[in-house]
Amino acid sequence: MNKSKDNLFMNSFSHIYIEKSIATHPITKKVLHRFPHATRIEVNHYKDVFCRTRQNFFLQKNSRKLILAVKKDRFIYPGTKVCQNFGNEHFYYTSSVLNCIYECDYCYLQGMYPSANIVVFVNIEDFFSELESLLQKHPVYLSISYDTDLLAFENVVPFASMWIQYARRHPDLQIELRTKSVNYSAIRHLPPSENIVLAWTLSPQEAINEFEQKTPSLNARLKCIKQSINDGWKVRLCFDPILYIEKWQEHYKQCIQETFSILPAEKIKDISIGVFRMPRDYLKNIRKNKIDSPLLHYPFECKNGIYSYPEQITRQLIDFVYQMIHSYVPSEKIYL
Amino acid sequence: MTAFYSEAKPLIRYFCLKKIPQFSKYEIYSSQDVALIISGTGVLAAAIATAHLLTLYQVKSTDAAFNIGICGATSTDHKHGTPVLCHKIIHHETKRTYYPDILIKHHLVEGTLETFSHPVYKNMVSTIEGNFVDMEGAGFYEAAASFLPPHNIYCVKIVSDFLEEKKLSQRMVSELIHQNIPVICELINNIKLLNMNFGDILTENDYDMLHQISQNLRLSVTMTHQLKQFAKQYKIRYQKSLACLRPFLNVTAKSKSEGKIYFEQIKRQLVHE
Ligand code: SF4
Repeated sequence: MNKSKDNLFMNSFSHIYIEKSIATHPITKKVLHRFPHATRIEVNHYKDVFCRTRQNFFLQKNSRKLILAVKKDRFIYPGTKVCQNFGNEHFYYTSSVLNCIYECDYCYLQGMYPSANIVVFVNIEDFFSELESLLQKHPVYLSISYDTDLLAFENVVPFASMWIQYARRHPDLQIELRTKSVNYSAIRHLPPSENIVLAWTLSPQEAINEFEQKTPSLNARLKCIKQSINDGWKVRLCFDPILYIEKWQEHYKQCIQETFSILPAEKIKDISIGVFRMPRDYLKNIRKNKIDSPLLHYPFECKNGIYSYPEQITRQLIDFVYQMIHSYVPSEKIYL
Repeated sequence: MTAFYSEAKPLIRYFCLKKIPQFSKYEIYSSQDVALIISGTGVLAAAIATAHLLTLYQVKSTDAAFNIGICGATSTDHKHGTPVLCHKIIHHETKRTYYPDILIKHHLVEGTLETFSHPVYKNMVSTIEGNFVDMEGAGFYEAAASFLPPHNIYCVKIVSDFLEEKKLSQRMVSELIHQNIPVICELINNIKLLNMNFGDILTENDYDMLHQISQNLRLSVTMTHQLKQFAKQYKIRYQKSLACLRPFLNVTAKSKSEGKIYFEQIKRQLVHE
């Protein structure tokens, strides 16, 4: 294209689609106040926009729209087998926002959703009340930043803060807020709590440059994590997905060394490690439209419907990263 | 697609379109990369004409469809001759709604179009949801959406009246479209740019070569499919042409098992370079 992307595409959130029924919801008002110049379009149901056929996720990424909707049925889901449960029996996840402002090449959302537009379910109070009934039955471990990066989105909708405040009142609830963002300042005013884990995904700077578009640098993430540890938050580090990239040993070695040169290893709650993996259908969907990603066009092997690197490469990646991390933290803190 | 010849005339001139002989009742005009059909009035006519044109030209997902025409405006916020890009289209009768993807910058006013199956006048304003009204948009969109992605379907309407009963002359309709050709062309050019980035990484020559190799090596359907996949991945990962496969054009397998051996060789080459 001779015209630069910025000249061709409208800004993200240039349009906000709003379900009729939540036009006056406080969160709706907040979002509209945040984007006073956005074109507002009334819709009956968010799926009328989000689930249109033949949308092109990769083109839409250049000008994402916001969709404000109400979630009507299920709010909390049991965790799937591809997710790490960190030894928690009652593992659940929830998605108050669908899609993410970052553009990681390896993100499964690109294959899972028909659209790159971001859906915000404004009725967060209904999520809380379903959780309330679940908590009556047993303790709950809940991943709240599941199909999005909630902290990165905090300046649009303050859901991370709301979840943290909710969790503080419910000691039987453990929540994990996973992020790549450095938007810690948005929740820093809240006192840390024992039952909240802030989980940061870390990658070598080379992988960030190449495959994690729009996300903050490794160094910026580490500084932000350090601050949160100093403030007393429990922190989890996630080296996930580990990518089989050129000179991967060198890059991961450097990344882990940098991590522990900045962060006090003994203050890290735990660490998770995982290699790139993606359900077969999602990868198929992505490959159809995304023809510029060598990462996703790697000849992965499919096992039980999940694509990943061949066994031998997976083992090499995991062993290497595990050993490196193990030189800083004990094995019981490392989850595979 | 336009509803009337008077709407089409300035476009036919501007794009130097030639009338093509047709067996159907529709008038079609075309050039190398633009085709125009005149549907006649109404939702159904618009849907049929659109589907007909898109089928006739075997559109690809990187082609774009436009409905260009005049519309009425429910308020005087926008003046006569204002070009409107519709971001929501309501079919008044069925209440079905359509949402084109507005991804690119443009210089048109945006608004909601409501398509009626009868002319609409001022005294009906209370029944109208949209900011603009016409008699074709929803039919056009519904038909085009069966072929094209929502970022390649555009309804561009020029405000011609404020629901008064007086009729516009054909000359004035043409004039309204003619005046807006620059803004319409800018939109079309940007859409072209948007679509340029997309397509298949394998060229026609690549497909010919892969087809030939598959025949020579007596590959099964599955293996042929895999061969194409490996070739795509190779081009994307290594940013190279498929020149490394040329030697296989001169190889012929005498049996399926011999073909399989060659297939494994090719696979190794494409996967591990
Ligand atoms: S941060 Fe996570 S959710 Fe967001 S694009 Fe990257 S992988 Fe996807």
